[in-house]
Amino acid sequence: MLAGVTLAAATGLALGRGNRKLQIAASAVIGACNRLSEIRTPYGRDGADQMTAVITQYRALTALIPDQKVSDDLFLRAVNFQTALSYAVSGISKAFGSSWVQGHALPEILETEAYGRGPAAQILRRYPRFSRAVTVGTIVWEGSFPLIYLLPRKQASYALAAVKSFHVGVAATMELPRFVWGFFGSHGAVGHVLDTRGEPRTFEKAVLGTAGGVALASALIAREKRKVAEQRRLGPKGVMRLDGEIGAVEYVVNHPPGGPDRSRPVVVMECGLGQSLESWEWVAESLALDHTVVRYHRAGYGLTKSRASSGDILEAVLEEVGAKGEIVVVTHSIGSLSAASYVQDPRFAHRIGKLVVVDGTDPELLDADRSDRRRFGNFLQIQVHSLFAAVTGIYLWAPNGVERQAGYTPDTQFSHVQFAFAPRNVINSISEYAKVSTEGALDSLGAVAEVLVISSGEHAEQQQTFAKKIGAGIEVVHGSAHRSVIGYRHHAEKVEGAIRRFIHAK
Amino acid sequence: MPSSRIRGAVGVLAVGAVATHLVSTVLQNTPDSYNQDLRQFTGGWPIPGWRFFAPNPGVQNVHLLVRDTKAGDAQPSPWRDVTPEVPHGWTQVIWNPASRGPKALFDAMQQLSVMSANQAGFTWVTQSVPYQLVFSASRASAAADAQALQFLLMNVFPSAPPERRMKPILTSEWIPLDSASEHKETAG
Repeated sequence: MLAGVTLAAATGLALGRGNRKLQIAASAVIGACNRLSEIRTPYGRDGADQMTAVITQYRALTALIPDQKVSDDLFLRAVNFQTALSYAVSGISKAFGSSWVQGHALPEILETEAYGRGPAAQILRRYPRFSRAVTVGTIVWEGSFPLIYLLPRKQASYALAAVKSFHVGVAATMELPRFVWGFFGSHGAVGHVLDTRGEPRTFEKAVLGTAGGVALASALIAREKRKVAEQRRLGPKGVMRLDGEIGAVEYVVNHPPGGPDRSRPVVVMECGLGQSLESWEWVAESLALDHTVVRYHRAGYGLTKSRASSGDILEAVLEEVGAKGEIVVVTHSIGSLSAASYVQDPRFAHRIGKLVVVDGTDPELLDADRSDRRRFGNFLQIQVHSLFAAVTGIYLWAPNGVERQAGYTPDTQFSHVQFAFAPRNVINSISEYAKVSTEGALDSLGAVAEVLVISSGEHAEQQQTFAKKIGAGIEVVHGSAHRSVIGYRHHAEKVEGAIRRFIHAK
Repeated sequence: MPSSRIRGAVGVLAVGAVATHLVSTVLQNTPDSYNQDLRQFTGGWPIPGWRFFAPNPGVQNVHLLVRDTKAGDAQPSPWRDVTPEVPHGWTQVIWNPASRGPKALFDAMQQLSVMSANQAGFTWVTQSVPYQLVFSASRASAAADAQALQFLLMNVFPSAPPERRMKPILTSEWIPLDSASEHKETAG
């Protein structure tokens, strides 16, 4: 029924050229049907439906403005704005996609049943180089669409014609004809704005200014929150800063309630990639009931400005806190490779008899990931997204993986999240991931007298293999994920229990 | 005079609504996966997403497989691929309503994948709209005298190396067909 009403209204719209009232009425009917059909099922819809909704619903809404000239002008400017935004967003988003930047996206899309069986797709598949060029070219032209408003009118028309041919090409290749109708319809609004250039365009300026203002406010609020978190670390949170020969190092020491117990080993905790020392909070808090627990930030993270190696930093911290006896090293994620760099170091080898690896990074898998262009590209993509979220402060308002996999007390959670989204820490993560040494890591880890691997449920299979490689025992915390294994209290209690049993085992 | 004031006020509201919608569209279309739901600021008015095929395009074929059991059968039937067939050719370049079926399946698969990535409980998954949608599609393919069915959503990546080509997304529970229909009726 909705389709029938839409068809009737669309016919009216097509026949009502020059009849403003009829156009508005028909648009209102189509816009309403579009919305009702979306309410009925949001599945199977695409960008063409969205553009149709924008055009028809804006037309109906702006018709409420009494001044006809203002009404029509606003309608066209609003549609033009969405059109320009649609192309620019699409291009910029693709620039964040590893497979688009590397030129694989279109050839891979053309392999699918849904979008790769069109008549032109078969031709494109024969020319993979051309497909890759089109992939990268799409990012460029879509992202730079707004430049059309700087072109002379004639050249701007040519550019719009080129965009139209792109939509026809997409229809012929991916069998998506709806986009032709949806987007061709919006180009008239672009033409209106091109024709009225030079007039004051306060509406567009107001919209862009408001959006920019919101984004700027978000970025500034995020920056302030990160500053507060940093100041709180050195204040109420009890984090220490060591300013020695190797540069500034941020660390924290937790002693048992009765003071340091020299008869028990000191526990040293290594954080995961880009993770704060608070990430160990649940585990450290419990272990510190009868052990001295030392956590620190590696080179470049947090308030650690030192670029020294993990071994040098650890030596300085242990010296500072007066820890001279046996050490148990506990690592999370890529922290295992940091530990691998010093567990056989003559300064520590005789002191480290036990090592715990929580969801550790297998150096062979890391090597494979780093040498595979696509997998490294995927990693970079995630980090660039994090960086974008960090700079714009989006992480404050939107759900994110860091918060989802952490359930600390509110104060610790705040500090942990601000740390993970500090732009400097995100950049440092990329650098650490790219540079951390894997050479001899398996041998170093395996050479520690006793090693225990504690795996998240998410990576149980992978960690079984890793444990075998380094001759370690394994315990699995079922139901946990890579970060929640220490971020959720009920998982962290299991991790802490396993560490405690391992340390105290004779 | 009062009527012109009302018309003026309505006009101002319309300008405000369009401007709010545009600002929300800009803010919701940041190039990452941190999807905020800004509809709360537009009174539920949907905000378009313009990231076509980006940043990570769907490069998989979503397959729907179904098996069922009948009274007296010791074993369930073998899995059957019941993915909707879509015609291809020059006609579809001009008119292609059938493409909505695979897109709907893709959308449902994507939502179920997100739920799975967020470690949603299985009960929550089975009560979700995409699960019910896929169940409805599966049900049409079950044998007329089937007593229960199970569906499997499978991603097939044609451009991936053979060992990484197939990835199961979700295997449903066994769904009794009679009780499911009763449940559906009472829920509706």
